[in-house]
Amino acid sequence: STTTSTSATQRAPSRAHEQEPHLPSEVLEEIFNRLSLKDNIRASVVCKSWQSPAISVRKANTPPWLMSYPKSGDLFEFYNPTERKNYYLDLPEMRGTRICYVKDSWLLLYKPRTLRLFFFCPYTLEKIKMPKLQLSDHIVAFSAPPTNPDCTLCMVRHVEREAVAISTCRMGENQWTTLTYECDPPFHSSMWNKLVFCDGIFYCMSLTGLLGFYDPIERTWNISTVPPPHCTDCLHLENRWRSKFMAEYEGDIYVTCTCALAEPFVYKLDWVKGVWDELVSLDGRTIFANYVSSCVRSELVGKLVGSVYFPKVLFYGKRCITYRPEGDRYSPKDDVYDWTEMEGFRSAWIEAPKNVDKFLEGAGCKEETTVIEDDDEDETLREDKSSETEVDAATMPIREA
Amino acid sequence: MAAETGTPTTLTLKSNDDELFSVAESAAILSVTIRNMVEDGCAGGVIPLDNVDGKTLASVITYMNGISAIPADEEKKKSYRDKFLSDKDFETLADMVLAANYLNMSCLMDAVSAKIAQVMEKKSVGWVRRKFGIENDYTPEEEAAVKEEHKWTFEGVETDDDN
Repeated sequence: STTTSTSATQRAPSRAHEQEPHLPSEVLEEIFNRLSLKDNIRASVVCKSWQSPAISVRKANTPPWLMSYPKSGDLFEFYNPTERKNYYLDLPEMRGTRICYVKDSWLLLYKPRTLRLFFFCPYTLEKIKMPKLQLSDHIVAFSAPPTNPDCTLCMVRHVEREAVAISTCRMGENQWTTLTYECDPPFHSSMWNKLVFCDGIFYCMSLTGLLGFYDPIERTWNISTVPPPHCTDCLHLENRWRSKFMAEYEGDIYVTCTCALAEPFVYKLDWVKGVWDELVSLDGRTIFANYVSSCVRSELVGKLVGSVYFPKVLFYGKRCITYRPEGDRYSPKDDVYDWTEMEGFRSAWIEAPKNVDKFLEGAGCKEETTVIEDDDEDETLREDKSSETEVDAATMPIREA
Repeated sequence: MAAETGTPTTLTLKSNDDELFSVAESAAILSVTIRNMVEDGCAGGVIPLDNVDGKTLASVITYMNGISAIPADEEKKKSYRDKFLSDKDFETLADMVLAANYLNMSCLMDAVSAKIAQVMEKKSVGWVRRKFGIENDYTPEEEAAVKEEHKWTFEGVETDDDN
């Protein structure tokens, strides 16, 4: 075949290319259309004329939006982390409810007054009722969207130090099944439990980081021998009780441990060794952490990639608090965040609406000038409470109000 | 290549370097460009193809004959395409994708685009520039900015070796 070009300075195109014009945009689009996101992005860096065909056929995923209950008034808030914009929507169906879990664009909601548990999609307004269940602040995970007949719901409840009660209900069943299991070692089940479904099993992490697992078919509950993930450098006993966020993605389980006085740690479960591996990089993925349920996304673009997004939007909808394992720091930095506030349960990451235009018809978009910082390295933040006017970044270092 | 295969109608195609090729009309009309000329009655004499050289046109005609000889069996057609492209070097592929675009041959276009995309898989930016003979017209600052924005895409690529 061809000879190897060894000279690094040999920049002149080969003879064959001298006589042929460069590939036109429509041909480049045909080729780039078949590239993975990663290869597509690299192609856009080859030269300027490749940039626009690459972007035009780039297939990136969209990040979830952060949905929050009204802080005042009736309007629910939807935060788009790409555009850093808020939208507001009246959802009377959700009044008097709290969120038990989220997957894709389905919320599982609980109405304490009526003990009614139901699935709800805020975009299509579809509603699917489930049998009643007495709950307090529990998380109730579900294995698949409720449109899937295999969808199973699962809830882990504290009974005593050495026992938990596990309630499950499958789509189509008209009542919940509750069984009590002994726990050895003791399992501190609480409202801070995290619950994910992965390859047929529900995994439940207690506040102290112990991992229990429940097989909904066999109806077995076991406590895993995996040592709790922790903040290795922090000796504060208090850190054992700090919030942990757990998410499942393509057969892997990710945990983000927050600390009292330091940056968080991100772990992935090593199934073979039975340990939590600390991650120094998210390798192109993004974790969207939330008290109720967290999720992981890949194939996103821009600054979203490689960070943990926490469920808190600062500066009037401008940006989320994020943490990037590479560089080991929060953004905005100079702050250690406390992830124990109860208001965290009043929000959730939910799949972005498929038809954004249609969503916007129903939603009032409160226009705020979205000033995207040129560089996240620049930690001087801008404030723009008043719309339209841009405020000089250098002169206005602002901390969260 | 046999010029006459006993098919009722043959067309004569002329490359931009004045080589003449005879090809069965039934095979040649895989090209929408040629089909339109035939339908417009412009195919009486020699059909000039100003954007395709003789070497590339010979390859394209081999492909036209090969694929049209296969009955409607997508599996077999696909395996023919894979085999046809397997021994083509990069320059030939680049020439063929341009020819397929000019001749408006969607099945060849799809196959060659996919092959080129496969060649580009996991390759560094430098490698692609050399292979395509492209001069980098980004300023170092612009290039650094794009790379910084998509940092993760520049990890785990194959080295700049020209292989």
